[in-house]
Order: sequence, then C-alpha cells, then structure tokens
Amino acid sequence: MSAVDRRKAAVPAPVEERRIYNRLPVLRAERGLSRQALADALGINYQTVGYIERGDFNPGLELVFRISEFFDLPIEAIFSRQPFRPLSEAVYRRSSEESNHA
Amino acid sequence: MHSSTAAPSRFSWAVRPMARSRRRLLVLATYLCFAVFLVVMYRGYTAEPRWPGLLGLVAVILFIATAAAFMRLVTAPGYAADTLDRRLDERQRLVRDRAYRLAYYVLTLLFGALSLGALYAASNDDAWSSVRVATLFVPWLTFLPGSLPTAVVAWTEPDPPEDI
Repeated sequence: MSAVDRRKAAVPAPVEERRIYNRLPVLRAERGLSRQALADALGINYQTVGYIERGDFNPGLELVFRISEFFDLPIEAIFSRQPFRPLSEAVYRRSSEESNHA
Repeated sequence: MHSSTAAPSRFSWAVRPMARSRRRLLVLATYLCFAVFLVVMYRGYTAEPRWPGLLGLVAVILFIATAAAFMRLVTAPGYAADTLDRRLDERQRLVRDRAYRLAYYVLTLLFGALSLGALYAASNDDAWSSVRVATLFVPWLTFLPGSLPTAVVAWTEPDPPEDI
C-alpha cells in the first residue's frame, strides 16, 4: 500500500457512506411505543431516538446491544449498512417461497 | 411490558425543548442583557454622584433578567447540556463535547483580542482610562467560560422531533 493510499484510508468516510440504516420506526409502531416510551426504556433522551431513526446519529455498540435486547431481536434485524427492504415485502416473499416449495 | 406514553411531569414545561429560533433569541437576550448590565454598572460607578436616579434598580433588573434568561437557556434544548456524564446519553455527550470545543476556540480568540487591547492600553499615554474601560470586558471572562458551551448547544441543536 502506497503512502497516498494509506493517507486516504486514514481519512474517515463521508457521513453518507457511514450511515447506518435501522428499523426502529417500524419496530416502535408495531409495539405501539412512543419515542418517549422507547427512550425511557433504553435510558436515553427521546430526541436521541429521533436522531437514530433519521440516521443522523449512529449509536455506539453498547446502546445497539441495549436496543437489540429490548426488542429481543438480533442486531442485524434492526441495523444495517444497506437500506432495508420493507418488512411486508420480505414477509410476503418468504411466505410465497414457502408455498411454492410445498 | 412497556407503557406507550410517559406521564407528563409537573415540571415538564421547564425541560420541553424549544424551537431553535426561540433558543437563539434566548441566547441573544442573555448576552445582550449582560452587556447592557455591564454598561449600566460602569455608568453607575463612574457617574458623579455615583448611581444617580434609578440606575441601581435598572442594574438589578438587568442582572435578574440575565440570570433568568441563562437559567432558561440551560434546559432550552430539552435537557441540561452542561451536566454530569451519567445524566447524558452518548449523543448528548457528543453534542456537549463539541460545544466545549467550539466555545474553547471562541474564548481563545476573545482572550487574544483582550490581550492585544491590554497591550495597546499599556502603550497609551492615557492608560488608566483604558484600564477602566477594560473593566467592562473583564466580567465577560467569568461569564463566557461558564455560559458559552450551554449557549452553543442551545444555538446549534436542531428543532426537536414533532412527535414525542
């Protein structure tokens, strides 16, 4: 690796590239939770929930684990580096695949 | 299981986040009141006789207005930004640290400007009157380090999300 490449690698990626997508709004809606209620359960400020949902703030590992434990879902079901497909699309595709197999 | 809404606290109005435009007005009001307060103090002490008319009362009112505006500013973003780590979540700590860094740069510039002013005053024949005028600025060195990080947070935090 050349010195120029090393220098390029040391520069943090732009915010857009570092964005972490999440399903928090959907999970909250499914459980009928307000931002305030989720924030209280996680021990954070409700505005922080809004920032995470909008992708304006990437939570740290400890908070990610807390969110994962709260929803009882694996981290990759809540957060992703790629935009999520709509849950309905994922569910219906799986159910149609299962019916095709049967 | 979780409740869907938290019961509103009796003092929830005090920590309800303000719109950014209102917060910025509050920041300007705080520093404007303090600046006018210092001018009134200076006029009161340098007038002959001292503290003519209702100048003393005006100074007290301005001091109370400054203190009230600053106290409201503390919780204007929806939380007391300048508080213990354990009372802030990780995003709030990030915002607070960024505000301190920015405030530090601003204070460095102000201290530099004041140092240059002091050097200029020392080289001036009428240095004593310059030093007296400098007393208008010295109180800023106390007020700004304590208030600027809070003001930066109130100034920069975006509008709160619509639904809570």
